[in-house]
Amino acid sequence: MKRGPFRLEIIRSLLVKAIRYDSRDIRTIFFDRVFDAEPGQFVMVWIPGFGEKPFSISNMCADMFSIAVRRIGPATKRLTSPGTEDMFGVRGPFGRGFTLPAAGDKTADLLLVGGGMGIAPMEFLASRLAGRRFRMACAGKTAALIPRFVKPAGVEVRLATEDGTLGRKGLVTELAADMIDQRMPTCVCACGPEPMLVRVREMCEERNIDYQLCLERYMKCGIGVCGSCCLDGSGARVCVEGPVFDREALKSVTDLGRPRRGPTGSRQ
Amino acid sequence: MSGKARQSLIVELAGVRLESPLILASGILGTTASSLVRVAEAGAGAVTSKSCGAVPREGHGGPCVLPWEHGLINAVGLSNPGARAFVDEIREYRGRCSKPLIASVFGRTAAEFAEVARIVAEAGPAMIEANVSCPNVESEMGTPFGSDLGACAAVTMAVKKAAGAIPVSIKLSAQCPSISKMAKVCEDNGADAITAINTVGPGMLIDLETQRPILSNRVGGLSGPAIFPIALRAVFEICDAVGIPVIGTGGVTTAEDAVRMILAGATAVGIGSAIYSDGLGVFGDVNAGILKYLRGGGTAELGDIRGRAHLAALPEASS
Repeated sequence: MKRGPFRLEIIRSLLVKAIRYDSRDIRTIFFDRVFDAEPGQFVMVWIPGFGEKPFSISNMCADMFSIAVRRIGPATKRLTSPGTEDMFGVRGPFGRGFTLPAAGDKTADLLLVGGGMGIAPMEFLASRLAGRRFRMACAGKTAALIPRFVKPAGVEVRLATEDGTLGRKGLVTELAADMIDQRMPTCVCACGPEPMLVRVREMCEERNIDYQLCLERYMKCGIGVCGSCCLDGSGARVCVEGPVFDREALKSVTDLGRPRRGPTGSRQ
Repeated sequence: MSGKARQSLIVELAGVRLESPLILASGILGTTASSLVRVAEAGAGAVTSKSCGAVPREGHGGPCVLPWEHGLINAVGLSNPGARAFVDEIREYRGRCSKPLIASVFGRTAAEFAEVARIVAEAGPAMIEANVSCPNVESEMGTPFGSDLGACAAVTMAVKKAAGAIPVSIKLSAQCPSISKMAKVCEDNGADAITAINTVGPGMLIDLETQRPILSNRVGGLSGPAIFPIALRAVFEICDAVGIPVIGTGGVTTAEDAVRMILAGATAVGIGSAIYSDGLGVFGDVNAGILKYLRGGGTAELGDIRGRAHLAALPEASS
């Protein structure tokens, strides 16, 4: 992929427009900026003094875009409780998002599967599927680990938690399996913890259904040069050729579900 | 010379045969075997792994690599899994790809350079490159070895001894009083090749809105088009001073740049930051462009144009 001439890829530094309380651990951050992006693409958010982290875009409306943030360290805590003058640098959007069925495609029938923070890009994806046939299965360990999301009108959305604090008690993969067996989708789009993605892939392979998985790897540069996020086997860069990979692209990937590489490049 | 002659990109670098003079520069996509294989398959003649040291390092936090109008600025900070772990990646690469792999190493002392070189040598890389010029860890490791003639000589000798039969290249910085003297010292102490140059700097970028430096390390090394003329001059000067081959690296983004490096005397040409602007297709594009240049001049081999710029640089003969 050619990116064209060298240029500073900072959209710009932005003030947080609004913060939504999703749960004890999760906030959705809104920035008053819009740009062209595909569901599944991500931005690098610079939290001055605290580092830079990749976040999936969780929605892009008429005048704002949002990211869902889980408060797990100093950087994400700062991002979710900023001072009034705090600005954050946003680079992106980066990577390749989900491939959407054509607008008039009456045969397409998608199942969106989101696990935990992986629900965030699914909200964005759902917002771009208006007029197409799709359902959603969203779940997490517990209610506090599920980002809130706008449920698309007229779409079947099922929820589950492992501890039963929200929706049905159980795993997202169980939920997805039920929905698949109820009505066979043409494609499953999934994002979430890797063991979940591995299981989703197995379910799809068993039933010969197409799928697209949104992957996560330790990322440093976000622009395809440092090599931190390369998948084993194909060598594909999650930040450029991903984070969304289809069935074909995943065939030559050998580290799906294996312990992933950390900041040093070795497996953790 | 006939324009019909079949053009070849094959070069020999310190006894190592390369199908193309293009080498993936160290620090770019060089952390895993799979990524190195992918770059080799994209058309590089050889690939250089990311510098590894004696122990694992996380490097600097983000932002650590940023594009700007004339290239990239980076302060990755020598993140690496440590030589012991990296040996597995080299072995995997060698099992999957026949193109030469150059293993880049660094150390805090000459003895540590030797220790790391000895460990990676076990995996049998085609060449070992000693990175004596990383500018991003100065606060921690002191002035790079590449800016002191004596220290550079000591590292060269130590790495050469540790590498055994494996050829050794020393990667120099353009930022020393005389890069040709530095290269000569490397040659005199057993280096089989010189890689020039490393990133230039350090430099800095400041964000207008937050009004602060963007890199977490505040400063970082410059690469990409901004430094190409510096790299070209350095290669030209080194080739005047030494007889060992040179890997000309620094800001090469086009076939024209690569040809200029060869005209300056380089045997091989490093490509790194161009992967940002042009993608992995840059290797195929530059290979094709070099062949086209050779065809246009009716030249069959790169050896026929190597160092040509030096002839033209001689004082004009009296008429």
